[in-house]
Amino acid sequence: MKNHPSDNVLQALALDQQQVNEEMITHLEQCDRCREALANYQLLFTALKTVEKPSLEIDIEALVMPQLPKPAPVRQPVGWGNIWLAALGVAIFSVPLFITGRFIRNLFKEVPVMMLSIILVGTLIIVGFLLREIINSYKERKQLLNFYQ
Amino acid sequence: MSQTAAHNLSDQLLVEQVLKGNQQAFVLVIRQTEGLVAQIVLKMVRITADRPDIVQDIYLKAYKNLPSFRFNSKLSTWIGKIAYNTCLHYLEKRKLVFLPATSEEKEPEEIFDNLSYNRQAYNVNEGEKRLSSRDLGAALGAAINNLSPPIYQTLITLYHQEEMSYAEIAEITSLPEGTVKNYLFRARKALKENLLSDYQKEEL
Repeated sequence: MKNHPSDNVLQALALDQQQVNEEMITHLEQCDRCREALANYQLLFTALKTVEKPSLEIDIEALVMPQLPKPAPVRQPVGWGNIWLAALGVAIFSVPLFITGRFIRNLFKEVPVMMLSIILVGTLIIVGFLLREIINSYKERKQLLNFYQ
Repeated sequence: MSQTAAHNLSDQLLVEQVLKGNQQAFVLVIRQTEGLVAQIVLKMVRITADRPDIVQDIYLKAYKNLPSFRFNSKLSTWIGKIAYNTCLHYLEKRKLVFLPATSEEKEPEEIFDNLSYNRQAYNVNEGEKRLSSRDLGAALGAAINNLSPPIYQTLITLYHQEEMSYAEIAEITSLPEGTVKNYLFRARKALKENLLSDYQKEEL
């Protein structure tokens, strides 16, 4: 080999990214300058891997996490299946009411209005308490699920 | 399973969890990428007091833009790109030079395609000194920080310390792969020459 390998080739050799042919081996054996340059690159690349990685000395988690926006609650899309189920529920409840409506009205004809009002208000209060209980229990379960997520 | 596929799978799980609103998953994202972000910020932002705001900005941008992450690269590379662009924007605002001037830039092909051998023979008397591994350890950190233009420092760090490929560095810096190779070639040469010159000065 009449010419010396370029610096680019020497770098590639030191990085094992260049195939060495016999001509180059012979040249490197005979040329002190190229051999030294190659050895310097090899030493440099090995040393670069051992340089201690600097640290930012910042607690990134403490800096970033409080700034993150609160996740929006995920809303389940209302599917057609749910709509059909709701329609079926309404039908099951309203058809018998429509059929037996006249009998029910006759049933309460003899009951005084005052008594009927007391029964109705009492029922509504009980239903209200039950609903509140159900909603509270639902919220507790949801919080537990978010905690384990 | 290849390493890239394994990376993609864990990236996918993490991103899914963060998008579901699990903020603890984002803590894992921070822990996985803070080393890379630190290397980029430390090399590009010299004013220590400005670094916390920049780091915060980087991760808030990452969190906000996570729904648009398409898994075309590793999550760490994507966050590295956000870090690089945020720092670059900071430097541009302060009119600080980071990339080499365009006139200085040669075509990558000029160096890489047909340069197997030096057309000009070395001067036989101009022997190259051998670096010493003992002196190298202490001097190397300072020598990297003195490389100019400053992008050389970032490239050397990403390639040799973070062990990223040319393609990944090109993705982070939005530079063509040939330009990344070209800059790295010049950076390594400058680093070696600076170290040799310091070494020779000490000997005198």
